[in-house]
Amino acid sequence: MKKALIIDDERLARSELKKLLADHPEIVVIGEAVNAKDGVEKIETLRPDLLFPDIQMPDKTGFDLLAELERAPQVIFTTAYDEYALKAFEYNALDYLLKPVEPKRLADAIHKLHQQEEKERLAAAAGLRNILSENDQCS
Amino acid sequence: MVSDFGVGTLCRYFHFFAFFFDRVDLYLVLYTFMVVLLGILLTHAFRSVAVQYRWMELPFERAVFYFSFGIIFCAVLDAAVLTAFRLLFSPVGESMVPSFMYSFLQQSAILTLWAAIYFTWHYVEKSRNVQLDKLKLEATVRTLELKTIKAQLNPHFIFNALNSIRALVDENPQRARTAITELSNILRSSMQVEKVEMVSLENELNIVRDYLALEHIRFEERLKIQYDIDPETLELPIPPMMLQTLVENAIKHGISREIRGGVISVASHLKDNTQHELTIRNTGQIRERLSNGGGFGLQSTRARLEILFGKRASFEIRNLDAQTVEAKVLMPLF
Repeated sequence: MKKALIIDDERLARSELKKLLADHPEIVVIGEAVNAKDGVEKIETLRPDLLFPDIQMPDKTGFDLLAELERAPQVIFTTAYDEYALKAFEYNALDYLLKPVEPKRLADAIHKLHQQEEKERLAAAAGLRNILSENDQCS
Repeated sequence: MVSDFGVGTLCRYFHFFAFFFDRVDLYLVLYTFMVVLLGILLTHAFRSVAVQYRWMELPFERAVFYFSFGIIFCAVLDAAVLTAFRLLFSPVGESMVPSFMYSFLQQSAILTLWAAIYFTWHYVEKSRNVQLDKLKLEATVRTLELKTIKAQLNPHFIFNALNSIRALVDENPQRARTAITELSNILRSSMQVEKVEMVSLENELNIVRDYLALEHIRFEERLKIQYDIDPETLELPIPPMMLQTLVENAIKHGISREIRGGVISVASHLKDNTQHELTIRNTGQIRERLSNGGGFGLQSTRARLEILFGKRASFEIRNLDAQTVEAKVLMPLF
């Protein structure tokens, strides 16, 4: 299960994304933020694993928000602007979804999330095995 | 000297006319025939050379130089043939040098007159054509400019609107249906921009109302809208999508950047009964300096007004007070 936070200044955009995410029970929306400042606060308190930030928000951009975070969760941008896609990947975004979000694209993004997780798990397991084998040799 | 020869020339032509009325002088007839024939041949040759080497397209000074050279060359040729003719056939004794000088100066004068007329005629015609071409070019450039700078609908607006409408489909189906109509109206109008130079304010206001209604779906209570329209201005012509661009600008740089949102007001009035004044105000502040006259929306507004009205129209945008930005367009009444 992944805890997700939606950060978007438009209520309807948030509600639409929540509706789309309802098809993916492994993603649980634990909160919504209505601007970047609100987003930073909710990330501190709610500790989400996954962010769905918009890029253009009243106070700051989604990029500014990420720059302020000490420990960044996984990020999937959702925006109507296609020109920021390259910049998004500079911020290690997992994916970049264009509004209106296509359900298939959202599913792909979530699939990517699982793949990444699997990779990390395998890497961690390999690391653990290394440590164990080193211990075996020692004993 | 010249006047002597001038009088001489005249006398010769009187002789020529005298032939018809008085006595037959075969020599004079033949001589005159020679003068005319040579004149026609030489000016024809002259013309072909001038056309072939495009003398008329040269800069003025060089063209005059080439023409002078051509006149002297032709006059020498002309005088040589005529002198030979006179030495051979003249009933009175003629000596070569004065006869040549006489013919040379006489023919130079005639050729100069011909060249001057030819030159002036073509020069006037050429400059008239150049002017005509310039006018045609200006008209083409103007249409092209208008086409390229005509404000285009911001695609982000369309996608954001569609995103809101999709959310509305479940939440408020009736509003979603109206929103789709509003969006189609705007799309249709933005496509018609290419076809017309002016629309009535009333037409433009219909688009602006649809546009703001859609943005209201997005921003909800964050966007408040006010209209203050003098009914007398409804029929006045304005450039299509200009008001729309300014209102869109007010949303993009004003309301959407305010956490609590704000107010957009659109006003249209007559000023001193000589000008049409459009005013768009929005909550917000211009913070950055407007380099190069602002973004594309503002630049295109300025450029379109300039093309359509010249100096008779004006556009300015400024901070009205600490919370409000005001954009104002003044257009002349026709």
